[in-house]
Amino acid sequence: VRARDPEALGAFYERYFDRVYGLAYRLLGDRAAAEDAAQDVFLKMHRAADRIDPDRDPEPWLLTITTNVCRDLWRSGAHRMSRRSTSIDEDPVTGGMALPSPGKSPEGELLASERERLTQEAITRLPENLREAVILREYQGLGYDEIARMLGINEAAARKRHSRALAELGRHLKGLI
Amino acid sequence: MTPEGPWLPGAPEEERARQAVKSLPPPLADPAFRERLKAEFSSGAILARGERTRVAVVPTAVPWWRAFLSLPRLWIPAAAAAAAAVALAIGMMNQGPAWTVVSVRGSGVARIDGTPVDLSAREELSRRITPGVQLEVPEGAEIDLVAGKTLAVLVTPGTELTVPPTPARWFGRETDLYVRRGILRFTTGRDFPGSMLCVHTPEAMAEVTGTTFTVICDPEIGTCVCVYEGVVRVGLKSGKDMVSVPGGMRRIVYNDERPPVVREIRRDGRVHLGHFHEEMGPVLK
Repeated sequence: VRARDPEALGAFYERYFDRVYGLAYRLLGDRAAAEDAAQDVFLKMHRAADRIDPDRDPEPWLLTITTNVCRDLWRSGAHRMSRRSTSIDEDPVTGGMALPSPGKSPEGELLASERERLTQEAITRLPENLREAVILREYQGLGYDEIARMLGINEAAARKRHSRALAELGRHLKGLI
Repeated sequence: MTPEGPWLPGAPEEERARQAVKSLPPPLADPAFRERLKAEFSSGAILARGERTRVAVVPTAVPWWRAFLSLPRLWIPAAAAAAAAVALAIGMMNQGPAWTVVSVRGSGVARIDGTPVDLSAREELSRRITPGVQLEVPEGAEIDLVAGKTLAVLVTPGTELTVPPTPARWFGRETDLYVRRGILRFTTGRDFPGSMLCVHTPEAMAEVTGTTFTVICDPEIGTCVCVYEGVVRVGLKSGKDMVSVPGGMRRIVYNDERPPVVREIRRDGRVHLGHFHEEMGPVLK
């Protein structure tokens, strides 16, 4: 990867794409923006490939870049415009893509999809700092220490944001799920 | 078991929300996009976002105001000054209410940042009790502090604390209060929802999003947080081992090796909190 060998880069991409895209999608709430974010993350990764430390797992670094790119994106007018335009012709949560859930009945599929839609909508309504904390903790399964490092805050602040995010999500989702 | 332990009866919605986020499935990317990006990444042909959608611009006649905007030397300072003025105005409007001394019972001399102030001088007391000052209430006296319709605090005899900023109106609504010893009773008001108060003692921390409760900070034993109604999250000062304590219960965080415990609140504690809640209810509505 450090030598930017196409095959190694391809394997690297396959290994981390889903984590990067998944995080971007959950933070931004729409497909077009998540694609933009993923492209930016892999561009930055490509530019910094020669500085990768082979002894360290690059995943935390990639997730930090993803979070920062998403922050830049949702602060930009481009993200708001893209959300407006995608909401006209796409399901805002799945982005028009069917999510596979093998073994589920059509009713079960429908319920799961509705539950996901409501949850994602509630996440998207959170302020960005709370959204980051709850997604990194519950969706990515990171510890508070890792979240604190990624967001440049202390551990107590990470816990506080996570706790506030859950309280707000609980309020938004009350009676819905 | 969740990190919050078994004490979650007051927050089932939060637990449901947590489970809902945890069980979100991984989203599927568009396979065409995925393959295209892989090819670009592997080959080094990957482009920055701005380079992806280039649009040809046809020159047209430029109106005068566009010409003005195109002269950065003129509009950048003007825009910066306007932005600074707006930021200043928003910052001022965002400020939370000031602390007010609504009543003083007993007599004696309080110390505010080390300066003695007689408790009979109510105006002087109100003027000096501002966010960030160290307040020491003498034995034999207690003070009721109120911040608008947000929060009421009863500071009992012999308590030492750092007076917190009151929660702001729109953003920056988290506030921290530090108590070194003594007993404080809190009740939140109409304008508190959306804010968070963190009470820190030498060994414990309590996070509050709206409720009535007491913090007892005893240097000999530790900290006890008694909850009258609602839920308070109580844990170690590091923020670890946070547990949701529901109304009618208390959690004790010892300052020695003993692990924290949760018990029912004592009858006298409930009575004191009930009186405080009833007394402050009309003030905070």
